Order: sequence, then structure tokens, then C-alpha cells
Amino acid sequence: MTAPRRRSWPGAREEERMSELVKCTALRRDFGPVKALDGVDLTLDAGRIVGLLGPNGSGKTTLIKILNGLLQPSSGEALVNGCRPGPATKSLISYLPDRGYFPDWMRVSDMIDMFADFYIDFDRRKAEDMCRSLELEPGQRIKSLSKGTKEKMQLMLVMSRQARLYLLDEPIAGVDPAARDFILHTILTNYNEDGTVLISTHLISDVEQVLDEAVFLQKGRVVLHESVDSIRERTGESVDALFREMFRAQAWKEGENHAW
Amino acid sequence: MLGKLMKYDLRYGLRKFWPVWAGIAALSILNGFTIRGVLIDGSHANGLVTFVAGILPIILLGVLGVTLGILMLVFICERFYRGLLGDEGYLMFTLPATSAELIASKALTALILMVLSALVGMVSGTALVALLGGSEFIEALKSIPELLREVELPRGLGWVLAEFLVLVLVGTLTSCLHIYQAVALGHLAKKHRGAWAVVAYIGIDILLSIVLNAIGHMRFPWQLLDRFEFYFENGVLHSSVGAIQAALAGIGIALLWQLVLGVIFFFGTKVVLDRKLNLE
Repeated sequence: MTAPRRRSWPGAREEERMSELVKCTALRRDFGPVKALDGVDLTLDAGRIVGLLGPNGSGKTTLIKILNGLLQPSSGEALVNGCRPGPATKSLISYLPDRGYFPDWMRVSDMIDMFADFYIDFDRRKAEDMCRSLELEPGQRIKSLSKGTKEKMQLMLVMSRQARLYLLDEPIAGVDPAARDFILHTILTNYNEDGTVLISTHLISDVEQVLDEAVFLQKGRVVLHESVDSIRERTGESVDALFREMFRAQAWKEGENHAW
Repeated sequence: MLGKLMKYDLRYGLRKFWPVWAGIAALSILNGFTIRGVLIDGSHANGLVTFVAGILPIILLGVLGVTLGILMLVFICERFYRGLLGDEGYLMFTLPATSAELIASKALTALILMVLSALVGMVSGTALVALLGGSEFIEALKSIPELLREVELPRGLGWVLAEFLVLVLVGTLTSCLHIYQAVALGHLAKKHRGAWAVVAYIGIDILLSIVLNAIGHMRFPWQLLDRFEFYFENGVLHSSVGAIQAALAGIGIALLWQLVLGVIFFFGTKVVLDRKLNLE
């Protein structure tokens, strides 16, 4: 595993510690006999766009849920801004889950009010502008919106926050290429540049251009954490090509083991 | 944060309940007129008129009353199960609020809606009875202080009424928390979480019965009410003085029991949500 490039001037260690936004140490999460996370050590600095990349079942969602406080680790520790997940860290994190979470009875304006009520870093004007660009009326009921529009609205609310950490779980999975462009454009034009964006996906070619760092997760372990530039320099390949190479070998091996 | 959470829970609850409350109030007033006009004074009316104008509004009022009860039960279960442990949980548990605040918001909202439902029922019932026979009803109300004068109250009347009111409120809150505890325990199962929640509810109930039998016979709010044995005779309210005294003496211990149970259920639910939350 190669770590991203580090600063090396005097006092850098203290500065690095201060800029460590996410720190996972020997993080494990078991679901019965299944090890969803198997000793994850990971440090993410502030001000980066990081791809959390791995095939289905590699532990991406589990890691994101633990950082959000939606799951407790079986052992090890996850810290966000030096604190265990709790109300204090939740006010720093803007989370986009891999499913819709809107209460259907609400209207578009209710959801904007709710985010404005609970998050002091929420930019109402930005959210309303984005609503207009999606042609959403404030009085529209959420249950009357299409699945795609609900997803876009959810992203719009999440990206209307000036959060320290954005945790985006599979934001481009299952959408058409045009919607993919819209989603990536929305993320890139709205995120807080002092914060960190962690995007989990297995559709690497679509996000590769926007990433500063890539974290490869395989069977609950971090098998690579490196800056995207460094990967390209070192291997002469794109992140997508390297990912396919690494995970194709695993898929073949598993295929052979299960062949009959 | 609790206030903000309750704002949204209450807004949802009021949307669900106000049509039923409005229906009950309207039908109570309508029944006040139709029962007297059609059933008492209108004996010469034909059968169809009697049914449509006299019997049907009574049936509808009964149906709405039952609907209100079912709606309340569904509301308590649904807001906790879907609102916290379903997809909405991804929103609620990532708000900067503690799990204690999330539970308290659901429970207090349910309590407020139950109190409002009871008030609607009492006001509607009073209006109905007053319309049917205003003077007799007022006489009956006047007889209550006379009846209570015969009872040797352990404390002042105001104090006893306040104790009883607190007992009813705490007992209601504990009943909600009992349901939340059962749903939280059901959440620990990998599959059929709803069914396991029902099993947990019944299991807790059986356990409580065993404990109560072991430590003696305690009185729950509804059992206290049963023992009052109200009845009207010639427009005067009667009750067994002894029964009232026995029930009043039990308020303190029943309140303590409900408080202990409420605290256990609250923290039991909190522990599950803090340590074992696993949204699908």
C-alpha cells in the first residue's frame, strides 16, 4: 500500500495531525461470520477529493456508515476531526446515502426548512437556486417526484452545505450518463473546497478525472491508498485500468474456485 | 434540538389526526341534535329516516372513535419503526442529535397527540351530553364535589388530582416506550424484525406480569379507573367511597412503578440504537 505524498517541512507532523479529517485505526466490522471491514487503517486529510473504490461487497458502505455513526465498529476506532462519530461529527458531515431517505409526506420546502433548521452550514439560497434549476416548486410533494428527481434533490440538499466532510455513497450508481454528468457537475461546483469529499463507487472511469486520491478496498481491507497523479506516474495506467487489473485477477481466482 | 425534532414529528402527526378530530367533534354535535330530534322526540318518523338521521350518525361516531384509537397505535409504531429504523433513519440518525433526543421526540409527540385526542373526546362527549340533556348533566357534574367530600383524601383534592393526572401522563408515556423497546429489540433480529418486535412486546408484558405477581398487586392507571365504579342515578354520580380511597392510596406506588418502567424502556431503547443500530 502506498501512502499519498506527505509534507516534509519542520513541524509537518503537527500540521498533518491537525489536517487529518478522518482517521481509522484497525477498524473491523463483522456481520456474523462475514468480515465487512477487516482491519482498516486509513487517514484522510482535509481539502481532498477521494475515491473510495472497490467492487460490490468490499466494505465501502460499511465504512461510510461507521464514519456517520450509523453502525458501530466491532473493534478498532474511527475518528472524524479527532472525535468519535456523534452529534458533534454529524454536524460536520454531509451524507448522501445509497437510497432515498425523504419522508414522503413532506414538500420540497419542508426538506429545505429541515436542513436549514438542523445544519448551520446549510446555504438556503444555494438550495433554492438548485431547486429552480431542477424546476422543482417549493410546494411540490416529495411523493409526487420521480425517483430520479428525488435523487437529484437529495444530492442538491447535501451539496448545499458547507460541510467539512462529504460522504457520498454510490452517487452515480444506476443513473444514465446525462444524470451522471449532472451529479458530478453538482458535486464539483458546490462542495466546500476546504472540506474533503469521499465518493464511493465502482464506476471509476466516470469519477477518475475529479479525484485527488484513490482508496482501493478489497474484502474489507485497504489495498491501496495513493494520489491519483502518483498512480498514473508509477504505473503508467489510469486508475480505472489499475482497478480492473487488480480486481479482475481476484474475480478470476474466485471464478475458478467456484467453477464446477 | 429536541424542539426542532418535535416540530417535524408534530407536523406529521397533526396532518394525520386533525381530520379524525374534526369528524368526531362534528359528529358529536350532529348526534346531540339527531338523537334528541329523531330518536327521543321523533317517534313518529319512518324507519329509513330513523336509521339515516338517528342511528347512522351514532355508528359513524363509534367508527371514528375506533379509528382514532387504531390510528394512534399505528402512529406510535410507524413513526418509530419507519421514521427511525426504516429508510428515513438514514436522515434522522445523521442529524446532529443524540439518540435520546430522537426517542424523546417520538414519545413526547405521541403523548401530545394522545392528550389532544383525549381533549377532543372529552369536549365532544361533553357537548353531546349537554345537547341531549343539559340540565341533568350539569347537576351530575355538581354532584362530583359532594361525592369527593365523603372520601377521606390522603392529601388535598388539588394535589390528588394533580397526582392522578401525572400518573396518567407518565403511564401513557411508558406505554409508548414499551412499544419502542419492543421495536428496538425486534431490530436486533436479522429477518422478520416486525414479527420479532411483536414477540418482544408480548415477552416484556409477560415478564412484567411475573414481576408484579412476585412483588404484590399494584394498580395501573386503567385498573384504578375500573375500581372507581362510576354510575349515575337520578342525575347524581355515585361511586364506592372505599374503592376511591383504595385507588387514591395506590397512586403514588403506581406512579413510581410507571416511572421505573419508563426509565428502563427509554434507556433500553437508547442502548439498542446506540450500539446495535443496523439500518438495512
